[in-house]
Amino acid sequence: MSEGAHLDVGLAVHIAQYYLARRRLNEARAALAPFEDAPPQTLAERRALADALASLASAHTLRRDFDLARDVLATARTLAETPAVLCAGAALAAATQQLDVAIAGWRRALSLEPSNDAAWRDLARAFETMGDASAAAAAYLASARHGTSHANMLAIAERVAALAPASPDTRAAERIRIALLGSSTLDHLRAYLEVACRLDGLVPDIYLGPFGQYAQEILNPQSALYAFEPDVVVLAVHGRTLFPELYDAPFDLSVAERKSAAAAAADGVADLLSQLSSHTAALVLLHTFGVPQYSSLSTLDLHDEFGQTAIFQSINHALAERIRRDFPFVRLVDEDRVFGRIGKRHVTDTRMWYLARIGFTEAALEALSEEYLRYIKALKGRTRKCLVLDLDNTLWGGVVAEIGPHGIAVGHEAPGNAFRAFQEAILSLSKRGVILAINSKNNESDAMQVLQEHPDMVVRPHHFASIRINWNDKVTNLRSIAEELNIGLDSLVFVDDNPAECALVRDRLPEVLTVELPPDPALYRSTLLSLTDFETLTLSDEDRQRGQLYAQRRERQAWEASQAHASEGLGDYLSQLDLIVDIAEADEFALPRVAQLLSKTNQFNVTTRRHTEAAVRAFAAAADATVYAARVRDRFGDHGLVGAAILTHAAPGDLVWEIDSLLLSCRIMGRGVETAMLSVLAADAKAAGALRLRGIIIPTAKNAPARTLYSAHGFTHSGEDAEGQVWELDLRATAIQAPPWLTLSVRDAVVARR
Amino acid sequence: MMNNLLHERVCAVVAETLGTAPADISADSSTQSVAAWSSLAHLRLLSSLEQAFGIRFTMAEMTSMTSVPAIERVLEAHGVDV
Repeated sequence: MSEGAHLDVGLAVHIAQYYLARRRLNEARAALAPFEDAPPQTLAERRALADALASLASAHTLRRDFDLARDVLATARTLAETPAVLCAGAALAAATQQLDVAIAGWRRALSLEPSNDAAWRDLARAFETMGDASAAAAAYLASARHGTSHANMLAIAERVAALAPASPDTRAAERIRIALLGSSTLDHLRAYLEVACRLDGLVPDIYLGPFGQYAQEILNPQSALYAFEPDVVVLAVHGRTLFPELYDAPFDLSVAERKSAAAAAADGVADLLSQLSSHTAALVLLHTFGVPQYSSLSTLDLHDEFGQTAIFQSINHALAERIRRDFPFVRLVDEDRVFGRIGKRHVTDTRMWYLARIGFTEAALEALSEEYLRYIKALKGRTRKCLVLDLDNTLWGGVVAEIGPHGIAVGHEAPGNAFRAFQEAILSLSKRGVILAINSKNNESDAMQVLQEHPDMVVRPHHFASIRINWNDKVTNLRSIAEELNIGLDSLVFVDDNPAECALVRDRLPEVLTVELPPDPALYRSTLLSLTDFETLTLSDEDRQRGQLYAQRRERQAWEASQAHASEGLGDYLSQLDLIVDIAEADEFALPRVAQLLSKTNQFNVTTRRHTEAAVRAFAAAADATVYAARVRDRFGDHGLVGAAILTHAAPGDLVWEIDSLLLSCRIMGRGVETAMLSVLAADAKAAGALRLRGIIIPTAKNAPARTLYSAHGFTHSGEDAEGQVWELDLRATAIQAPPWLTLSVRDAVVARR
Repeated sequence: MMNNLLHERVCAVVAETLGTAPADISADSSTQSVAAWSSLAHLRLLSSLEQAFGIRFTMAEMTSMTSVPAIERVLEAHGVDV
């Protein structure tokens, strides 16, 4: 077949696959033969050819033609050792009883392609044959972790339960005994819950009540349910079995009858709960009664005085009230929310319901077991306390060191709004008691500038209890975050977009839950919300305030540290701070923050004029005024925009210029920043031809620290006006110098630029 | 030819899903003759077949597919091309 050398590799592979599907192996081999002696030039073509030969080898192995399989594989290996080639080799080795070789082959294939769920199952079977039960169970679970099919999930659950059953030797922290009761076939729910528990490191022992006999089980103190001594009881009873008339024909009843039927329905369930609670101390997870998809009143249901939606909501509401009052160990599983996530019409495969009374599809089973795990992990004390976040391409889009604080994506338009939505979800976790921390490889000043000043950020430095923005590796930072917060590594969830960073942390700190964000930021928020690791069974006021308390602690510790330094000698301390003061005309980015400072600052504020943002923008746009913004950073980090001033002058060349406002954030007082600011204002006024600089002190109850500003800098008291004291500086006689311990950086000569 | 190929694929899916050796599944296999072919395993098998052949069975078909030949008849009626 010399003409074969001109054949396209892709076409030959396609032809081979056609014959392979029809089990015509010789023809498949012939289609590929031309390239075996003259291998294609490109790697992609060699890999495609190797994969096709691997399929052929597997087909030979299935027919037990091992010599042919060996021969084809040898050719494939010379082309490329793809995962498919490695798997075909492993399958051949397994078929010829060389299990060690087979296991090594699948392991190599999986190291190249960890998401190959079929290879994980093959590996698991090999371990099973060798009698290594725990390795087999682990490999089955790895297959489930990589998203295998429904049928495989059911099979995997069976295998892991058989291979690694819960036993008296199981560590108490890992053991969980779960009873499933309900009105439908729950075998599949057991399977999904079995796998979900094990993927979270729990070893479940699951009791499945006899079909439909939940009431007998609950009412009989001698029942197998109570003998099982469950830690958790799931009660998934369909409302149709309890109050069918409210599903099928609610409007045959009068409004009053419907109301009493709804109340009776809730009472009936509460009676079951009180029986349960008197015989077991287990946590009971009771399904609510989801509103049916269609009402017989159809679009007019909510128009009715007490329609079907109202009926179901009132039953659930009454139950919630009873539970809050009487049943401390019962929690509701909100079907409308859980099934709403996947879409109610995807909850039941009606064929399976009519055939086998199976009420839940694969999607519903996944959603339910995820929801149960939220409670189960909280019950087992597996709640994680702290969410540690990367910054670039995690909190915002882009790399701030490359594109600058203005270039990053966070805001109200796509893609920035996806990052904002993610931040909103982060903040809501913080309000529920989750501690926040940052672990980022970045220039600290760039990153802190975004956190402090970017107008569209939702999370701010004060939300974070621990901040690591540096060039250390992320493992070191995670260790030091855990140490600072005095919590275990197993309390941390680390979220990063970078697969390499995630792989490193997973490898080095397996106790940390590492969450690799999907490539699309549109999915960040749902990725975070689907985590089941932050749940608690109750929520106290302290939980709600925890995030804030930790953040305050961080700030206080920093403050105390600075006080300790100050007492050793102010001059030394300040010169060791490496202060850098950057003063510039306020730009678009700075103006909202300047307005915010004007509205908030009480102590170091000479006039306390509360100009609105619109007024500040008018000053900035006016020819006869200049708005200054001062940013400060030191060796410990960036303080951000912490000083502002407004300088007014009637016209260029006006002889007296006036400081309308000058203020400093309280967290930067006592470092000479005000002197640096005055030096810039005076120099600018002088350069523009002014002879005198005027300042006003308007005393308030709180601004004592600012009142000596002008007297301390060579201004003379020239009188009082209606508002306060007037001070003036003779610009020809006195120049103001910035303090020696700080580095002053002035972006342009601000006024001269005009 | 067609039937042999279909038979081979059906047997492979049945063996894989029920966790039995491929050699144990033949044209004679049914829910009666294969111990692992329980009622729950049957539901699992239906799910596997739907996925493997990219089709969706009706309820009536599901109840009829209790042996390898019966499965093949339903698949052929769906016009499955191997």
